[in-house]
Amino acid sequence: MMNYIWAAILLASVVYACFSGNLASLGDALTESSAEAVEFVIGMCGIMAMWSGLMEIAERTGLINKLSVALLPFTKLLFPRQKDPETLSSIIMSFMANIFGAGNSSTIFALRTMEKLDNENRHSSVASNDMCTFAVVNMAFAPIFPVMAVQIRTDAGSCDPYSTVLPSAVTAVATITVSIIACKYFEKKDKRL
Amino acid sequence: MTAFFSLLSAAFIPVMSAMIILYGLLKKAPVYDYFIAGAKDGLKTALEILPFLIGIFLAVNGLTASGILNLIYEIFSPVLSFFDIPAQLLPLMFLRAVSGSGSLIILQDILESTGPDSYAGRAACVMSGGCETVIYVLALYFGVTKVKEMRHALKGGLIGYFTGIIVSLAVCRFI
Repeated sequence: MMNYIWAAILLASVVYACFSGNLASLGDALTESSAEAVEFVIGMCGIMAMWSGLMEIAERTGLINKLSVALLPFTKLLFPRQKDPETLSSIIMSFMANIFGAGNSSTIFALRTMEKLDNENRHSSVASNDMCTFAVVNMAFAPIFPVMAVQIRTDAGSCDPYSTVLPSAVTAVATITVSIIACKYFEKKDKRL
Repeated sequence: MTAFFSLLSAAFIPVMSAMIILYGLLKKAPVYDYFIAGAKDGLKTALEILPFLIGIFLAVNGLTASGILNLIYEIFSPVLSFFDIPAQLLPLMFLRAVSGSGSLIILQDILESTGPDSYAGRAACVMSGGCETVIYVLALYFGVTKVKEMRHALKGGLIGYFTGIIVSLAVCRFI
């Protein structure tokens, strides 16, 4: 899937740039993007190593086990067949980081979760149900309080920066609900796993 | 209110760290050694996702620099005006799916041109918060796995994404 999307985007960009006269700027943009990606990763390296280090402590001391047992009733709803405490706690940490508005940390927990789910999936080339559910639900999660939006609105000179807080909450609830329903529906339709 | 919530998000990282380390000490674990071992793994993961990030950044920059996004906006703008949706929101609706930093710049443009308290300005804020960068996130998440076929992850993600857009447009009309 990614093969086609990626190839189509790049080919379409080149073809269109030929006609629109943007070929030179496209060339610049393409060479710059690799550098941009490297800079981005370097920026994330530190926080990634930090969380991995802290999580290693939490895992080896058994803290994670305790946490996931406590939250089992909730995770059972979304991941009924998931038993591994480390995977479950990694999922929970990712959701929690999202809710608290720590986006970067959430990404790091999400990547850990995906690695663990990939091991359970025996590195199959087809995604497991848990992978799909986790990815879709984690994407739907939004910060409980949109600190960033309020900040941007204040900076832009809004007379009521909080006016988007309630709409954001309504949108988040709707998105999460629809995402979970869609996931469970597709899961039932596609019985391969 | 905001002060409280900013404190809450600011406290997330320090409080979590303190709790983990404290628990480790209570268990008499060699917390420093564990931390170093874990940090090593984290750096490995960072390096592993780099190729995927380069791939995504290429595609996103290709889309914007070639001008193809402008073409897409032109095609879709009649649909938007039919539903009485401000045209300024269109770039955000598309770019939000692929690029977090790119869509942030667009959000600031919208707030500047239409004002933060206009319908377009408010809807743009809700949209940016409620819609995840679906394509980017999926490429990243599945990048660390051996998966070639994502099954319903893409469909589900896009459904969530468009739900976010539609609901934010609708809700901002009433609230």
